[in-house]
Amino acid sequence: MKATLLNSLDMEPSNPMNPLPELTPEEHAIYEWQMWVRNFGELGQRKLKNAAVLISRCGGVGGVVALQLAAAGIGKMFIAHAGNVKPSDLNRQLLMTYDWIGKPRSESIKRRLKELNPRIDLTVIDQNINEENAEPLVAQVDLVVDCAPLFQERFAMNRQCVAQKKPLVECAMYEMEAQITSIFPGQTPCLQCLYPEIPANWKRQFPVFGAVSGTIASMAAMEALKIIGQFGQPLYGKLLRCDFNSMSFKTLRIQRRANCACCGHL
Amino acid sequence: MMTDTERTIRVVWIIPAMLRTASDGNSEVAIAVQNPSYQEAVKQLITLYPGIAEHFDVETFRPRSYISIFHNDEQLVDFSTGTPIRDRDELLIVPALAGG
Repeated sequence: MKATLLNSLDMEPSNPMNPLPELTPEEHAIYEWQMWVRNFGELGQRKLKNAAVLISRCGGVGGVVALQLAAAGIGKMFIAHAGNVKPSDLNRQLLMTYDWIGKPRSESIKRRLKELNPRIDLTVIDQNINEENAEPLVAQVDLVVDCAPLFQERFAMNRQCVAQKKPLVECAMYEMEAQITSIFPGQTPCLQCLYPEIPANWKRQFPVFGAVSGTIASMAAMEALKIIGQFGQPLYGKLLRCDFNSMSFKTLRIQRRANCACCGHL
Repeated sequence: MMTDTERTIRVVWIIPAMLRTASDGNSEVAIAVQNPSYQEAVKQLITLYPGIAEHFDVETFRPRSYISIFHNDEQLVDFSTGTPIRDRDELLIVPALAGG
């Protein structure tokens, strides 16, 4: 399955008139240490520079995903996150700052990411994902990282990624536990294969340490980098479950549902 | 020599944080099962902690749609027949999470 997935996800432009962008001397200096990673190298870095990623919500998980991807040199990033900064954001949402309480999160996100990587082509929309905006946003990117705190948003994103056959890194946490998988529509289980219906008992507010949300976020960023850079083995068809109480990590095999309402037709 | 189908075996349920109010806070629950099947293991778990029953269809023992069950590292998808389990197997409940 791995070879098929990697071949399907050929992100290099097929048009020879539109090759991967070259790295500038400044980019060589900044990314030198990660370009030493085996099977990544300068070609991988150019793939990151050429890629566009959408992050749905930029809180405890999404904020760290955005930081890691901006640091790694993703060329273009779209972030969807509404609302103003609240005091309760600050235990985990590393792109929000104390001086910005009461002001738009989108501005804090822009400011912090640009401080880290002024070269990034960044679009932050002051909206959360919904059935209307998911389609045009997903259409503009190569990969999505889903970090939303509501299943309605996650299901809408999953549906669009399946419809547009875009890879989706699905990561979430609760209290001291977290889980992550990577979805390649039509070849791996999608979110609705795992959970066919929106759970009625999920509450918007959940127990969270920033260290837990930030850890699963860094794992999600690594999944995105592997998929875009075409190296390593993404968690395709696997769910990594992390228990930070016992520090036990299990890689579980998950299966597609033939009758999945979202991806069963693929 | 007795086989697993002829004797009582011990299996461990791993309970996620979201369901632990129903398991007296326990994250792991070891249970003895006399007819070693997944269905019997669910029955025993529910007997021990009745609050967990709401997360299963108590007629078929299928988990609700927001829960996946893993037998050791494999997702269980077929609940139609008596899925066999062995001594020391692990049954893991993984609920849908959206904390982000």
